[in-house]
Amino acid sequence: MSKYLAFAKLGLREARAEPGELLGRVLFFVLILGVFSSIWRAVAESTATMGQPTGQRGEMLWYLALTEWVLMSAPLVQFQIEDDIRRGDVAYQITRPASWLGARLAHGLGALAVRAPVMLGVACVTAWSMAGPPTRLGGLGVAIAVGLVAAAVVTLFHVAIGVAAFWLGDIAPAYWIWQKLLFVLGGLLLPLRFYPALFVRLARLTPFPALLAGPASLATNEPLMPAGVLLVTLVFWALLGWIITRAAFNRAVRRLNVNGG
Amino acid sequence: MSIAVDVKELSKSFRTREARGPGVRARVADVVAPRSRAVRAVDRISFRIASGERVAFIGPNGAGKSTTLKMLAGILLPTSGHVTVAGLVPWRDRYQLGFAIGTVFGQRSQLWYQLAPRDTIELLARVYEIPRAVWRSRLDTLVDAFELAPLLDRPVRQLSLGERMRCEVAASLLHAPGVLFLDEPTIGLDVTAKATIRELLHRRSTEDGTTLLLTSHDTGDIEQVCDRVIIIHGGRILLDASVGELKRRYLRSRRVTLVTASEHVELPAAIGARVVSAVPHRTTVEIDAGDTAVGALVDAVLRQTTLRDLVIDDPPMDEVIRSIYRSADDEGEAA
Repeated sequence: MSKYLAFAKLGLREARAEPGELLGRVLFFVLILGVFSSIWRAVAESTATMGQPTGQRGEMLWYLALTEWVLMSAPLVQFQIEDDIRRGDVAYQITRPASWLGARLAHGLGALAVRAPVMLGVACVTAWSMAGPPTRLGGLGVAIAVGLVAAAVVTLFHVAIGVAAFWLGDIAPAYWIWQKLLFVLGGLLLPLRFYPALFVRLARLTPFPALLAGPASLATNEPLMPAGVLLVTLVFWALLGWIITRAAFNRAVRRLNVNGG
Repeated sequence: MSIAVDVKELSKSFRTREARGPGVRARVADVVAPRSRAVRAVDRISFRIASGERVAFIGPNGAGKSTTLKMLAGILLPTSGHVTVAGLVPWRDRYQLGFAIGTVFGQRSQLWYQLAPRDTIELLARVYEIPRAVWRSRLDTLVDAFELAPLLDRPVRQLSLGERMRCEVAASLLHAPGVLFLDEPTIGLDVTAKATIRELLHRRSTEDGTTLLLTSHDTGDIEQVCDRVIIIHGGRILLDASVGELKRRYLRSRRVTLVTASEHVELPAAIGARVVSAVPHRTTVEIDAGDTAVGALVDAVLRQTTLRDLVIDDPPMDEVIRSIYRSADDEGEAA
């Protein structure tokens, strides 16, 4: 286990050594929250003129801040993995007495340990300044704890997408599809309760709601599911994802060809 | 003496896609029913390396040397044959083998680019499960031997290729592997950096008893690091001999420099000496490498003048190896 902690430590140091990338994410995050704050304000004003309650604007912004926080904290390890596979470096790294996949995941989680607190700070400060405190302060604490687990599971799925480079070569299309599914089925912008019932039933069959909507909704008045159930769901998807990724990786390594001499 | 590497009838074939040619129909056919061809990169090779031996594994591009090295390191699965490295089957016991071998691939880096070499070394100490006190002391030894003190805390991206390679080799030796595989360890280095790496490799191997298996196109690596050479061509072993024996067997000529009292010397045609260069008091000739040729040359010179100095050089190793490749190509064409 200590060797994987060492990989995590290295990922953490590497993330700290590249502050530019983190700063870019922070600026983008603030921009997104600013834009959506304006949108929800406009929506709230228009619903107020129709006699609808306007208190949901703050909740919506906190919801978005938390879904975006989970999403933007997860490092894009899949592209590093794609590089390793395309350049053939993976072949040389597997000679070390450590699981290559475990090392890559640990390295990603190390980077997550730097990003998550920074992005959480940005999320909370921005959402608080734009929309005031969350409706359920205790719920926010639980949402953060479960959100960290969700971000770790997103990192694991990024590893899985990276491993697809053994077959696809270029993982950009696969990542694009994953991202869109996560946005839509995960309820990135809107809580799933606003979606049609059939859609929600379908979404619940996938890991996406547990990754974004689940943790973020814990800070709202209508959680998607209780925190305990959500944690079990996340662990289930993480285990399934890990088993499939390991099987795929082992199969790829058995068929490994290294171009050139 | 124990055997570090044992290779028996090892083969590796790759399947490569074959395009049918230009045109839409051919391209559609390539997608619908792709055609492939088996390419045999390594063809039933066998050899043994004793513990502590330093062996150069050389051959022209595409000969199969790197493929062999990758099978020995557990990276590639062979098509057939049997291999043990440090008593382990590389592709089956890859995890345990990791502790027993070190690898240096000249065109790859195991160092984290954005971080200092010390960070990678600390990581490797954990990966190889080396107790802190042991790796600290080992690192001190390597830092002294490889003169790494000024490099350890600089980001790898700021190091020159030679400096980086010194760190790479040191990192590979941190866990004191019994066998070290090196694939073109001096590629791209300048003359000084090459000499440093060769000297360090030779010294570490001598002092620690590390078995070295090295592939290279640079004959300097072979002459200055290794005692034995295996030449591979077309996936087959052409020659397996000591470096000295290689030179003796393939010595076609010798270069003799004569420093004489008289300004010029006349050499009888019967000796068969070809003058390479001649300046007053110094004549360099090339003669056949027969047993009597040098003696006849010296006799002829002594009959004319006093011989102040005599230097006999072997032909450059490059020429020896090139002639072996050439004769293999000629045999291949004839067959």
